[in-house]
Amino acid sequence: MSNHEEEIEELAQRIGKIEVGDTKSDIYQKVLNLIDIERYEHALKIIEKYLGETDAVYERAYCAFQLGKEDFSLEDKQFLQHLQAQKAYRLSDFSKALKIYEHLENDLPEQRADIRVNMLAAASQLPGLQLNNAVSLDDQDSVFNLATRYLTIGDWNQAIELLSSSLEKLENSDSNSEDHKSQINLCRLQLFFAYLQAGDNEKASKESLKISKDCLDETSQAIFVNNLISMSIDNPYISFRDLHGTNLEKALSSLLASQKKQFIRNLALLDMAVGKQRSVRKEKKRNPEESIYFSTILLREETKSLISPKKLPGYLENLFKSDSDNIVVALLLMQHKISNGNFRGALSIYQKLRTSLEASQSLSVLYSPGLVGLGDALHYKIQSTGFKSQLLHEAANYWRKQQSCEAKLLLCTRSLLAHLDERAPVSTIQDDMSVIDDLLQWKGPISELVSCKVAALCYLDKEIESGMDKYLVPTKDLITGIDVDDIEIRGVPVSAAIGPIKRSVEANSSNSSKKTRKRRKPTPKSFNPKATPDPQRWIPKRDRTNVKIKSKGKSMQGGVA
Amino acid sequence: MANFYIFPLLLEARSDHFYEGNEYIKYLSHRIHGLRKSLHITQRGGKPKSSVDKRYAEILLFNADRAFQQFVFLRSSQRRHALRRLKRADQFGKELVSFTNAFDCNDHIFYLEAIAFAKYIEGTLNYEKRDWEGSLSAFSISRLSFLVLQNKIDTLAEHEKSVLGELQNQIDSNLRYVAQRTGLQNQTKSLDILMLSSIPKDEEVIQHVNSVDSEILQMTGDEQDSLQTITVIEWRDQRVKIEHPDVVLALYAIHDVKNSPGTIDSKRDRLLAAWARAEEITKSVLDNTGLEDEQKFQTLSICYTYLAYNVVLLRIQRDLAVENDSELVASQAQLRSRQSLYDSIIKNIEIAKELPGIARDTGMTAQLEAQISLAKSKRCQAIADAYQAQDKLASLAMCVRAASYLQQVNDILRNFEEKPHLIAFDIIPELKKDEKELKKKILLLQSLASMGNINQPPKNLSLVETLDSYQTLAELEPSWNLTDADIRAIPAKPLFFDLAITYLGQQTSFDKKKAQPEKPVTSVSKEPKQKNKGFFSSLLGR
Repeated sequence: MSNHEEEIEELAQRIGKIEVGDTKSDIYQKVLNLIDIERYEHALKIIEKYLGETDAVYERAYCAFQLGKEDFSLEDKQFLQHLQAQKAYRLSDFSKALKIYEHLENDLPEQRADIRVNMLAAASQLPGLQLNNAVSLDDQDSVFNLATRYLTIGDWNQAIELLSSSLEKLENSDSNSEDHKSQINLCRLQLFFAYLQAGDNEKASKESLKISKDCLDETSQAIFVNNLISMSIDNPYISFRDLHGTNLEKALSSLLASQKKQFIRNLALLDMAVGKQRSVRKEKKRNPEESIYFSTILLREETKSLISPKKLPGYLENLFKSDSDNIVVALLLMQHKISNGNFRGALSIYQKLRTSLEASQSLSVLYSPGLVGLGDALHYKIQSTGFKSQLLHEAANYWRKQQSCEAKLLLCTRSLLAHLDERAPVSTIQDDMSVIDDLLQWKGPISELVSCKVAALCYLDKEIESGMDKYLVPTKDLITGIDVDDIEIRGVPVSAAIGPIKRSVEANSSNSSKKTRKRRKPTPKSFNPKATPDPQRWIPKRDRTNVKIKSKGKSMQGGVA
Repeated sequence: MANFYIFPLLLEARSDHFYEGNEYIKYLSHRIHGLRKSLHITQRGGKPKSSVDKRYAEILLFNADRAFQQFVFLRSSQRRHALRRLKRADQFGKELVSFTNAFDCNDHIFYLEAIAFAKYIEGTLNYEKRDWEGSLSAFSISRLSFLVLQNKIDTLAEHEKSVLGELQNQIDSNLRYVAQRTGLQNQTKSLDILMLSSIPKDEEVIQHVNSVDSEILQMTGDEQDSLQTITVIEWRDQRVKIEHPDVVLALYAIHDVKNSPGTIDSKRDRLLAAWARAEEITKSVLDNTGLEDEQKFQTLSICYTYLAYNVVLLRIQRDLAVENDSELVASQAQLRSRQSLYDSIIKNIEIAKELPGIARDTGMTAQLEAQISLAKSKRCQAIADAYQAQDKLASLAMCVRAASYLQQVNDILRNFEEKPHLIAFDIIPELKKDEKELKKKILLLQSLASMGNINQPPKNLSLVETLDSYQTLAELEPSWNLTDADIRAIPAKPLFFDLAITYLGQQTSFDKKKAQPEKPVTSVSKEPKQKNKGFFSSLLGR
């Protein structure tokens, strides 16, 4: 246990100590103090021991809820709904939390502002959800959550703009309280993240220097150090020390599910960087759902340190032959083949993996969205004409029979859209629609499912309910950035004529190959490029002034007798 | 053709071998020579020059047609020589008629085929000799024969239809012209009445026509009354009567094409040509008319606007008919064809807007603008269909643009009181239909594009990091990163208030039971903890 935890524990013991002569009011105040420092178990014990059954009913229920107990009873439905909304939010069931808060917003008008902030917080994790109510830009909490939503949907510029304006307003205010400083630094932390995602490391670095780490809470401190490491990891040992110097346990317990997963992955990568493979193996056993990720980084490190680059494909192929249903080895082998441009080889590995997984009845892994997408992409890369998403449809057929889950939601919706693009028969679309209806009952009217249903109803030429269009992305937002006038002027697109260009290139190359190169005459050995040529070299030799022609002699052989 | 002999030969020769210049004449010479060889009548000097075989009719037919084509070829340069060839053609035609009558006097179809062709040539000869009475009689007999035979023709190929159509059109126009030359009374008669009144009662062709189709000779003057309205033109709220002979003749030519046998589609091109010729004649007459005669100028101006507008209208309808006949498969080429059609319609309507008399007509201008907007909307829909497979956002943008054009149509027609004309489209039902279809299409594309915009997988992540996300080729292809992982940044949590905690601390009254203090901790409770420590724990100080 860290020193901070020891201090908290000592503080809890001191606060929770019941003195002789303490009244119930004093004990009640102590309970509230224990709740403030999140010592719910201790507070619950004091309530049960020293207070009556009708005393501190809200506090009793609150502590029981925080401890995960469900045996409390309370007549105040609104309080219970608040607790249920918090639970749903904690479990990343954001649509359920939103639904509860929609009811509470009507029942509790005095808490509308705070409820809307919470609604926006839940909506920020649902990128497909359309915000019906306009967000007030005067409320800094709402602006922060709205910026977080823009970060979720990948609109970095909009998020940076909102955060910058919010930060400017916060800095211009005269407040100097701790909460205000914490708010400013939290905003800077989010802006730091936004700059990182936008690829502007220079501004991110400047923003990180302005952040005061002490003003952040423990979770935000861990996030800040993590983001610093992600920007640049010069010395892994120093990075490891800095990250483990924060309260990781507290951070992991309070982060959202997706953030927690990424944080665990980052910790594993950092452990690998400092050579702590054993810690990664322990983490792999502790988190079986992340076993593929951990196995991948472990095997990559193993192959990097033991095998030379030339022997890597052979080593991986031998591993794959001995263990053909190992996804990690298959992925590494496919990565190697794709890096060399051998997509057919990668597809062959994929098909072998698929066969092995089918034989071992690991269908949930085989039909995981990532693998299905990879298979379709490889097929399309090799066979672009006449391609149909066969693997996607097979996966959708598999998940159709399973219980509702995220994979079913993801693949069945994509399969429906693919059927629409392929002009599938009406019966096929109707079958897909029945699956969408099941998912709607499970997940609620999220934009992804409503969009699929609207598309299917339009395809089937059926009536569409009036309230469905509010779940779609507005048309103005969709066509923003598209030059409509240019498209209208150009008209129906014409496919580029690639063949004739290639043929002409081939013809040119064939012509050039047929040409015979003329051989240059050899340079005379007595040639001196520096010497000045004779100016009379082109004049006939008999007419040159510098040439003396020998004259024939008059004497002749044989004389006249 | 059923029971036909001469027409198939003629149509086949003209449609398949009608080359430029005198190549057709050479072809006919070769064919005639071949026929003579087959009938063994090539020699002269004591050898027979004719035959009783039915194929001898082919020789006579092609001799007549060859001479006629030589006349056509020579008439622009050597008139006298051309007339001699035409006279020779007429002679061959008469021989053909005699041969058919002698071969089988009961084969009425055979005779009518021959007489139709022969009288056509005779009429042309009389026309060239300015013998209007003889020409009128000859063309009338030829037209009557053609009408009788027209009802007997079952099916014709497209190229055969065009050849036969040219012959009929030429006969009709010649007949109308000759009627004009013979007098004003004949000018105002319908072609049918004119034809029947110009044929002598004792003509042999009457007997053959009675044997084949006697009802055709029972035409009455019911149609005569409708001819009175041909020269009366109503344009918008104006009514004028045309008296110029050239314009009147052109209007009668339009009427003749309308009433000629055949379906609307088969004579659409002829009708368009007739309207275009009438427009051209009217324009030339209008240009030659001075401003001194204001009434005549005004009348001709209205007539010209009426004719030009109808030319544009027919041109648009022809384009629409041609497009509707093509295949309905929505391929790229088909979509480009549709776009070209709508571009043509827009261009034609723009031409109609610039016609004199229309620019100042607010009602007509509004209608034309509405038609243009509707055509632009349909053009945008065609482009949207082309982009639907590859770029749904561009397709959606085009649909939105099409909807804006439909809104323009609605705005134009909102204050429009009179009933819209049928120009390119029947605008009110077409508008309702397009609005409904476009709304559904926009909703479909919006939903499809929304899906593409929702839940996009994070970029620059490897496959092992996104196994729970579906990535397409477009998302995998830039890097093909399957296994490379890196430390990723994490965003701060959104602000989430613990609203339940606001209910705490509100209690002010408690039960009356006294609070019991906690017992002091004795040293005995610490001993079991110390006993549980092991050797290593005690050694490390834990």
